[in-house]
Amino acid sequence: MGTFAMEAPADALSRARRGDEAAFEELMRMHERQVLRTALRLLGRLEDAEDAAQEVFLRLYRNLRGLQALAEIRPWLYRVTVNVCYDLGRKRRRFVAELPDEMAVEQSQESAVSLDQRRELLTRALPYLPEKERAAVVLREIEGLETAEVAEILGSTPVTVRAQVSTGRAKLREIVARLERRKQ
Amino acid sequence: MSEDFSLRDLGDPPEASYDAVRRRVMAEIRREKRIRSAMRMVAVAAACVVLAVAGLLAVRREPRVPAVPMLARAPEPPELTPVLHRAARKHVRPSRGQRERSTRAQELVVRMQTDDPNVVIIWMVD
Repeated sequence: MGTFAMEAPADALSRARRGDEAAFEELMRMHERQVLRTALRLLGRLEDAEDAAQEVFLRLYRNLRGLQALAEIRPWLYRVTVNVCYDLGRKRRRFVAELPDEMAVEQSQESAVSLDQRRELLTRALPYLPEKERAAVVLREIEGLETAEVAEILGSTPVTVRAQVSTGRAKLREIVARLERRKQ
Repeated sequence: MSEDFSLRDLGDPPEASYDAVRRRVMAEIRREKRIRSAMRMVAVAAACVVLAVAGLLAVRREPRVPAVPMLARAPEPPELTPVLHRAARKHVRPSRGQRERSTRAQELVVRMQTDDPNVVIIWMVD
């Protein structure tokens, strides 16, 4: 049983490589959460994330022959997702370059926000981060990858990734705080 | 910012989004496959047309097939018939009397030799 469980996905890869559509769909189901979630965190809008995920899976389909083992797919998909999101974000100019203006926001007393509200604020805040920091934060903090893995995916070094994550988190806190104040 | 700042709390995209993405990807893959197979068919058809045209042109340009050479019979050697050569006579101007006689006679004698040396045909013309 265990052997079957290990062999089935690998078999799906080889079948997909031979043009089996059902096998490719199986591969998609195995990785769709990873791709769509990452794209959503990087782009901030569900419609954009769906477009990005579609492009990522189409690239996977066209590059199946280049992938020899199932283990190669996951990091490959992360790398392509990040690149596709960069491209899509630049094309659609959805990444916001400036932080919300603190001065324009009426200062009010801090009040507790619900978990749902916090999630929404974080989702809204992520696009304000610079590209590299956003990718590092999403892969390390949301996807939970190891720093070395993130560095490999982003073509960077672990030290740089650590710095980007740290800076990104600090900025995110600040942005969320501003958004909270604006909301109140 | 409080310590409960956790990015992992962010929710997942709705299930419908996964289905939508899957459907769109599969539709695009099928469309690409159809286009690819159509292009392959067009390419094959084009290759066939090119080959046919090239074949036709090659047939037209080909030099006309030369007539099959007939085996000519070597001409038979001509039959050799013995010809008797007479020794050239020294031309001697006839004397005046002779000339007078010849004009008078006006007689032509043709001697024909045959294969048989004993048979000579003499043809006398007046």
